[in-house]
Amino acid sequence: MPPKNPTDRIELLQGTLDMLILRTLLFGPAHGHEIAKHIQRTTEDVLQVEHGSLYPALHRLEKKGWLAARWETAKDRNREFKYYRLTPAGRKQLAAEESKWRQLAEAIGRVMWPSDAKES
Amino acid sequence: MPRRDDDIERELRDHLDLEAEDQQDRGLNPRDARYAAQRALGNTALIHEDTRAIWLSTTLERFLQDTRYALRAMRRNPAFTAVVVLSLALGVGLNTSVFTVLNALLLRPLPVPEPGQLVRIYQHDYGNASYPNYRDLQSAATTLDSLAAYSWVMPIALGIEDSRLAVHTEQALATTVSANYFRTLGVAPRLGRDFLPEEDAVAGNAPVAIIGDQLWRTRFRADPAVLGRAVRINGYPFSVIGVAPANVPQPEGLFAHELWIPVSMCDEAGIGNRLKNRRNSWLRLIGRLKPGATIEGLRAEAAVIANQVEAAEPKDARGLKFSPYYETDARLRGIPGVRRFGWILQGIVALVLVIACANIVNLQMARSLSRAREIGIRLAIGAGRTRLLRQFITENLLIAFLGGSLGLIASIWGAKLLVFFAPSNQAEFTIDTSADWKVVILALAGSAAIGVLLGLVTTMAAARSNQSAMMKMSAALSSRSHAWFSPRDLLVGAQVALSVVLLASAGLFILSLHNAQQIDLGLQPQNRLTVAVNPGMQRYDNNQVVAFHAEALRRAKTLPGVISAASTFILPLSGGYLGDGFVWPHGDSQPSEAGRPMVFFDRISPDYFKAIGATLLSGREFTGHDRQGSPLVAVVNDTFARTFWPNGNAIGKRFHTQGPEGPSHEIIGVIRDGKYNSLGEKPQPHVYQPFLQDRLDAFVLVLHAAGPPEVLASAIRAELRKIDPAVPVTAVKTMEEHLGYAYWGARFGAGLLSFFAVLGLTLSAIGLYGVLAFVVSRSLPEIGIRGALGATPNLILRLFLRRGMVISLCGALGGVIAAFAASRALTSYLYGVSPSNPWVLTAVAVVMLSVSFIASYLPSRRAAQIEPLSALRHE
Repeated sequence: MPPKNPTDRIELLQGTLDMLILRTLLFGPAHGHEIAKHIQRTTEDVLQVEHGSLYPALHRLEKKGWLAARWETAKDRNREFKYYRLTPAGRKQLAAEESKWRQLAEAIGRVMWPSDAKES
Repeated sequence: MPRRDDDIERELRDHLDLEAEDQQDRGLNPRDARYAAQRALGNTALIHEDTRAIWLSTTLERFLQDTRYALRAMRRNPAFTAVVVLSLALGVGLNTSVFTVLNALLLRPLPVPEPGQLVRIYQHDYGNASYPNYRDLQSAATTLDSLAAYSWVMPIALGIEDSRLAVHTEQALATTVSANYFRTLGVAPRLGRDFLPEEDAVAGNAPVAIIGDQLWRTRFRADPAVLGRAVRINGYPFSVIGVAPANVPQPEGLFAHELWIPVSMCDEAGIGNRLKNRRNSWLRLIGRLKPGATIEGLRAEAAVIANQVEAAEPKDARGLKFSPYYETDARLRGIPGVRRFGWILQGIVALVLVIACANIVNLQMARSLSRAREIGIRLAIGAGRTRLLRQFITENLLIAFLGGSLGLIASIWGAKLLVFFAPSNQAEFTIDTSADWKVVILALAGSAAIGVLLGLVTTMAAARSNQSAMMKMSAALSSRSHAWFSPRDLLVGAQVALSVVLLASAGLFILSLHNAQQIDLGLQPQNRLTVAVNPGMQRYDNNQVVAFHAEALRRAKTLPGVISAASTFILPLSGGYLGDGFVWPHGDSQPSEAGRPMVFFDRISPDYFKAIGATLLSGREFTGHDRQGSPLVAVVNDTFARTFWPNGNAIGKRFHTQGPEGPSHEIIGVIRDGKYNSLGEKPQPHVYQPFLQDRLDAFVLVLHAAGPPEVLASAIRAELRKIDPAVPVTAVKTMEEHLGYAYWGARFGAGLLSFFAVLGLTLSAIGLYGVLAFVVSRSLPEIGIRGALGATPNLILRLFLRRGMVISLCGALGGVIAAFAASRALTSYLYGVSPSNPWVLTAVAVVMLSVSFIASYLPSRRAAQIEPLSALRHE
């Protein structure tokens, strides 16, 4: 059930947001609004991306070379939007972030729920 | 980078459009959909700016953008900007003004080559040297490249012949110097030549003079043919051989020399023959160290030389000591306490600056909290803290630069104003307050440092307050009031403490001034006119002066409106005294001067004490019978009598001057003590001798007038002119005017400190008011809730009032403790006031708390008047 109380929504840290953006673009190019909606929808509103922090993040990723941006006409309408797509460097970065995140989650899990320790 | 700007703007606009569409799909009408979309995105301009910032690669670009943003913010809030910039300008201006004067007096080296090599040598601790001692030191010192001597500035009558052979005589300030004076300084005359080494070798041999640039322009109309012209100095003919350059360095700083003559001509110039007497200390010494020599080396050598001189001349050079200092170290050392007072003053204006800075930080934090949400977002993103720091530092640097520059410009007039209030006695003070690049750089660098510091403090405080503010916003009801010691409260508390210190200092000085004015001067200043006359300048010999003096007194007594008239060599509290020495009571045959109390001397005419209003305790005044050939007599003051004859009457007792075998004087009168050299001096033994039993060359007439003394001024001038129009009358002033100089220090201290204290108090009151007003505006929801729950307006009022008073109470307490400690430094400047005077501290605390009460009451009252419903709606 999507939480409605503002204090229950978790503010995203900068690095995490970067990772989610990269992941979202794995499926294909998208523009800013699409990315925001995708994250919100997929997490059932748990992760609230402040739209204000999205665009600086996108531009930062573009500057770092992990994303490439281009103004293109939308598929379903006669209007141009700025589409972002993953670059090969971005793909590599996503893999690295993913692995770090998995390690972090496992470590926390071992502390929090020792009896549920995964057998790998 | 306009293209990227357009890019970002377009991207954000697209986002809004798409979000609005989504909201419409959810059922909102187009207008509400747009509104909701905008709310979801947030502050577009902010996002735009943050996004643009990502692309700024260089620090310079980032800095420029920050600056542009800061300028925009400042333009948007002109009132806020004005208050903040002006506060800083005030603080920086005050500090720079005081520092400019201090720099000119104490720090700025003389405009000569290698000023670090210049040294000043005092005889004993900070006294003048005699001519024979100077010569001995000069010939024997190997650590010195050269040693020159110059006298204190002396008023002389300068007579210049015009084209029609008429002589115009006006007063000028001369100094007698050794021939190597200008060479030692490293200055060459711009016209003509310097003194030759042989010109100070033989007395009376070199009637030459070098005139100053100012004198050349005013009295000689910048005539290039001035060289070789004849002038009369106190009647004696001299010839002009050179003109000094325009900004000739003045070693004494305060009193400017107008012309220079060789020291060998002192007798001819009417100053008297002072070259032979080893005990006549009238010269100041300035020299240059040899390259590689140090002041310690010079001190050691000077001690050896002093011992040698003392061994060779045991009678006249007993206890001789030389005290060398680097030239800047030696400044104003002769007037004890002045150097330290200068630095104390600098410390006080620094306090005012700190108070002003605290206000600036408070105001900025208040403004930053109104942008709390956007700041909170930035902080949450994580990169925000550095960004925030950069932004605040840029804003504060901008404020500091503007305020500092304004303050620097204002200090040009500020320094002149300070100098304007300086006392002028015989000669006008000249303090060079022209621009010194060191002061300018210090002011600008200091302002920049303040800017950075303010930025840091504001960021730290804003981040901390913001956290608590964010927490408060979500925690709707709290049983306690807001956190007690937020950074803003601490700042205001500190301001209050500093203001208390300033107020206490001012209070002490005001009390001291009151005490100073109660000091018994031993005379009656009302209705007395003083007229300084110097027949010696016209080269009268002693008999002529005696005759002139007698005639002057006779005429003065017959003037209508004059009750009595008399004369003295030097008026009390002239900032100097005729001379000092030691006496040997009759029967004391111990020749050593060690351990003897120093005695002041003065020479007077008959009926002097009656004219000046001093009280004769026993015995009689001098009469016309006490003159050359009659037994030597003296009148002494009470301290003298009790020092040497503590048990009985001093009348009829005898004492010897110049040694136990010296001339014997009989005491014929004892007068009540007065003050002779300075207001704060300890009781001082004083001896008066009759003019007629000693030398007479200059004197000051004292006229006791039946009414206002000023009316007698022109009459007495006229009478003196009738006797001899060429004799200069150098100063005509009332006794009260003359004594005014003695009170100058106390008045200046009280006035200046009161000004600073009021300034500090006002700034603190503004700070306190601002903080409380801001707390009230942030607490509107809480006020509403409390009101809705039944709190009376009175309760709300007391709530905020209590907060304000607690802050100021804590601050005042801290301030009282600090004032207690700090005022120890002021003890030596206060007349009969203990720094821990409880009345002053109590009065200061009362004043501070009263002002704080008013400053707290106004916003608290407004809080109490708020309607609960409107307050709740404000969220």
